[in-house]
Amino acid sequence: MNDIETRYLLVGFSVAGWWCARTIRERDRKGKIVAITKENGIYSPPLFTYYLGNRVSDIRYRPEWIENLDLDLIYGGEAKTLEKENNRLILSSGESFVFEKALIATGGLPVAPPLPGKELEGVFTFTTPRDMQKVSEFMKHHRVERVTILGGGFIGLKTAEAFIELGVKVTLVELANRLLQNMLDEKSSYYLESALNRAGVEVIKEDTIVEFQGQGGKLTDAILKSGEHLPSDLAVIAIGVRPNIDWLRGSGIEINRGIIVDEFQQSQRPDIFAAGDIAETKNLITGERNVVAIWPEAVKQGKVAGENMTGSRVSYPGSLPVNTVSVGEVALISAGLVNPPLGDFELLTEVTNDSYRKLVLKDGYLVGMILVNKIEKAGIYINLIRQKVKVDDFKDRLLKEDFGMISLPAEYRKHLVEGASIEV
Amino acid sequence: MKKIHIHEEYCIGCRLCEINCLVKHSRSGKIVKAFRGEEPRPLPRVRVEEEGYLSFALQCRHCDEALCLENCPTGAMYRDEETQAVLCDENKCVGCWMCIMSCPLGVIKREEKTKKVASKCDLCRGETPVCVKNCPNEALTYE
Amino acid sequence: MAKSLLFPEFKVVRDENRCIACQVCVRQCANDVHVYDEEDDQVYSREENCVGCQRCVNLCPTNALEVTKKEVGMRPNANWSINHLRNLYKQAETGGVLLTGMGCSEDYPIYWDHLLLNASQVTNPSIDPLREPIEIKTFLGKKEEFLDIDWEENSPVLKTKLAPQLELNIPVLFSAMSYGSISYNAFRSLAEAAREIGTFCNSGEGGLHPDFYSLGGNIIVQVASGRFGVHPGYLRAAAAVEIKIGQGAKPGIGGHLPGEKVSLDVSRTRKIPVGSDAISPAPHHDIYSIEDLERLVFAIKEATNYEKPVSVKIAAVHNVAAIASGVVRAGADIVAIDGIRGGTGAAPQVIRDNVGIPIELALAQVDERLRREGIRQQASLVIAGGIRSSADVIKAIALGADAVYIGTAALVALGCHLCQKCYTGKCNWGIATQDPYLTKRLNPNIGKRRLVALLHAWSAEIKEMLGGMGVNALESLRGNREHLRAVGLSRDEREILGVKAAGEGW
Repeated sequence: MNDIETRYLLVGFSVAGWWCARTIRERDRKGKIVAITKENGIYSPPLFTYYLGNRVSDIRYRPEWIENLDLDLIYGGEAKTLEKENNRLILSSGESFVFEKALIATGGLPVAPPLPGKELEGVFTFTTPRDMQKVSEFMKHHRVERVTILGGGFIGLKTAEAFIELGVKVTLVELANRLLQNMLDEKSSYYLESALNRAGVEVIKEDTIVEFQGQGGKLTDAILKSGEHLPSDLAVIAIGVRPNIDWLRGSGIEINRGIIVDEFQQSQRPDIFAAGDIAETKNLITGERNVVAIWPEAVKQGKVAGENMTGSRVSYPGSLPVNTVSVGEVALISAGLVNPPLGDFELLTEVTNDSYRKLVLKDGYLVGMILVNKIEKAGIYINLIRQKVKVDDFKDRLLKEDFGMISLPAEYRKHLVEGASIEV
Repeated sequence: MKKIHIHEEYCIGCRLCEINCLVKHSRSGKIVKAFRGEEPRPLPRVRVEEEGYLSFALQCRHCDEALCLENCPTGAMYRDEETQAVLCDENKCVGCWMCIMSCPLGVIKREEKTKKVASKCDLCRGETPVCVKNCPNEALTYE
Repeated sequence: MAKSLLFPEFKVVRDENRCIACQVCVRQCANDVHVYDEEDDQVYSREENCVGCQRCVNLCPTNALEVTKKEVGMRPNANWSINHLRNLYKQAETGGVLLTGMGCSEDYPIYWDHLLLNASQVTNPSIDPLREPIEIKTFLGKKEEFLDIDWEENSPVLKTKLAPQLELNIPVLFSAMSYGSISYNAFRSLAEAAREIGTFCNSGEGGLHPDFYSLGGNIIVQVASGRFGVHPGYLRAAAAVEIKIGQGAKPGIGGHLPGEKVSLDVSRTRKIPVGSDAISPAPHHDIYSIEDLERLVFAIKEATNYEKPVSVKIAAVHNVAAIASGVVRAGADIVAIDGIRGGTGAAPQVIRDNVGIPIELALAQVDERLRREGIRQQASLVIAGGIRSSADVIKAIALGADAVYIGTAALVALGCHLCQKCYTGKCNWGIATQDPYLTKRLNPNIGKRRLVALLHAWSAEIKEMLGGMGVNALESLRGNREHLRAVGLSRDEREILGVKAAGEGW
């Protein structure tokens, strides 16, 4: 088979790939872009649980824009080998591509420990459209009244949300002593848990599933480490995702937890970039390297990669973990360093009957934020974190009711208010 | 693209912009009915921020690089071809609040009382925005 | 503490069917008349504080408010009017001099309303202002008695050096209103409107803020008895300099700016301490005779290199004609006379309402006397004091004025509702205040636009009236009493005005 030659090759085409393609097209109207995706369409992963819960009927991502991107899209293509010495990628189908610049954005694979009984009918992971179809099919043909979810992280919570909408009894099993332990503190985890309880979800903490039991090949119970038996008609393993990097071994790309990239999203090989759930980047605040698998990061990294693949030198200030969860009437948004270690961090908190807010400051800068129910100002705080604006002068106004753009230094505010509205 | 320009030196903090925005986006479109008759009371999409004698009305800037649009997972946030305004398609919005999390100006609110969707300025769908029209001191201009 | 006997002047009526408790009135009232009760979700009004400025009525989005005069149910008394009674109660309580703002509002005769204009018919045709040019341009300054014209190569060349003139596109200027008595935004509106129309505004005795030096070509600066803000740069920046001897609202006393209105900016412009009352002395302490005045006039001419006209402003008092004659002979290029209806930011009420004479009478007498003495052309006459419309302007010119200053009319155009509380510094319209929260309410862009529109309308009306009279240039009307007739005036009044009774022919 002959190689397909292309200027730009996007390996994996979800959020990061999409925004990379858009950025490339804005800067290079003619250059050939080949985009390869494992799926048979372009989907928005967060929509899967909403689809399950009947909130949306279409899980595609902005289908009306695809035409304008003028891409050569390859569906159902799985990347197999990235040659070490050449700019050449081979798919499992045997198709091969030669590129000038490539973006690796193959995302993550679900973490699925080898639990006994995992292959029983009724046990699912939930990260691809195929998973979702399988779940929908299963629910059409079987009576599902009790669902057990393993994992009290983001995916587990969203899955729980979906099943709540469907009116089934949900049990959430989490290994840590509280939910979303990386993105929330004790108090806010408590708020979340209470909201889940009120919505009819049972939350079991400091436990995990060790075995699935079934009858006739179909799931009947989930067995917990503590010994408890949870009768279940359906179970979802939602522990998390890990970067899909196995296929890159031997490609000459430095890998740690994910693909190691610099501030230009460039890997060790100068023609190869990485973005999204597969990329390991520096944390904006702490400088530590990690994979931050969230949508806003995928977008930002995809854009930066797209700029640099077309000859710019745009650097990316670093990743910032941000998170939004809403269950029932409780809405939570958190960002940055929410559980600061002991040291000179300053905490500003506000607790009312039905809300909780915490801001974490270090050396006069905002580095972390948790908002429960009073979430409207989240974007303002998060931008103060990202732009590293010194908040000393108006520290006492931060949590006031009327805190807003008006409380910020005039030049910063005017630049945002006017700069963003001046036509380029 | 015509945008709303804010002139804080002329804002008198009267909040007639908020009132007219509320009425424009109410069910009845009539001021007394919108305030006294509609339950729940509709929300204005513009907010007057005030500190001392400084004040200004702030609404969505319909940014050229709109973070709310970039981070919207459902595609509900979209750009209107004619006006170039960033609008929210309430039929697609699932109330995930990624937009609220992304907006550096904090101008998006939760329209929670009626549905769980995002609420923000829509540039009055192509007409001269009512906040601009009704500002008694021309602190908001549309150009 | 004994209870006050003062009764509220105004009544606030709220239509509860229309009121939506939006609180615009609460926020917009500088006197805290309206109060929002959160528990009841209702707005209540405290009438005692209301000054009747109509700000809340104007801004209420549902027109739910009405502010009217509150009738006091005392037995009607032609002698002891409500105003007198109110003043007595107030003075018995405070022991102070009662202050007031704007012009005299007492019921003295308004002579403009007794003068009627002519129109052309049959014997000499009227002129259509939309089809033919009508000249309303005016030059203020000393005019020569003789012009020396030479012929060089078949074209005429003027040999006489003309005295400096101010060129106006319309015979209307903006009166002296000091920065301090009015806000920065109000002053900016006046200065920019003057620039756009092609006329002048007057700095008043508050000095000139440096931001306005660029507009100096359309500003007349004042040298008043307090000499606030007077320095060489000030004189150089202006188009003309006016020595203020008196003011129509308060003849015989000096200017008064209450300390509440002396903000940091005002203090810098006037060069006085923040928060201190700015009181100008009654006389200039270096002018005690007409010769002293002449000395100051020429000192200013020297300082400005004889390039700018020097004006002298006097109040209309009983022997105004003699004073005016002296002022002209003292070398003034312009004499400005301010009548009893002239406005002010602060004056004792008893002075404003009882001292001075109507400008119509003063004008007629001054014009006649100067013509009789053969010195009328040595100075231009500008009059002020309650000019309300373009008809008043035309009548003033017919009585002999070269141009007219408008103060109150200009402020009304900017939004003033004549509540007469300027001295409190709480002007709800952002005009007569220094409170930054209130001054924002006057957007200078809008202010300028309104003033330009006003004068644009007046110039069209002036042309209509002139055309109707068969006159196509303002000069033909100047001092031409034959175009006026009086109604409802006594013989004495008609003689003083020099105007025939309506019904009398040529």
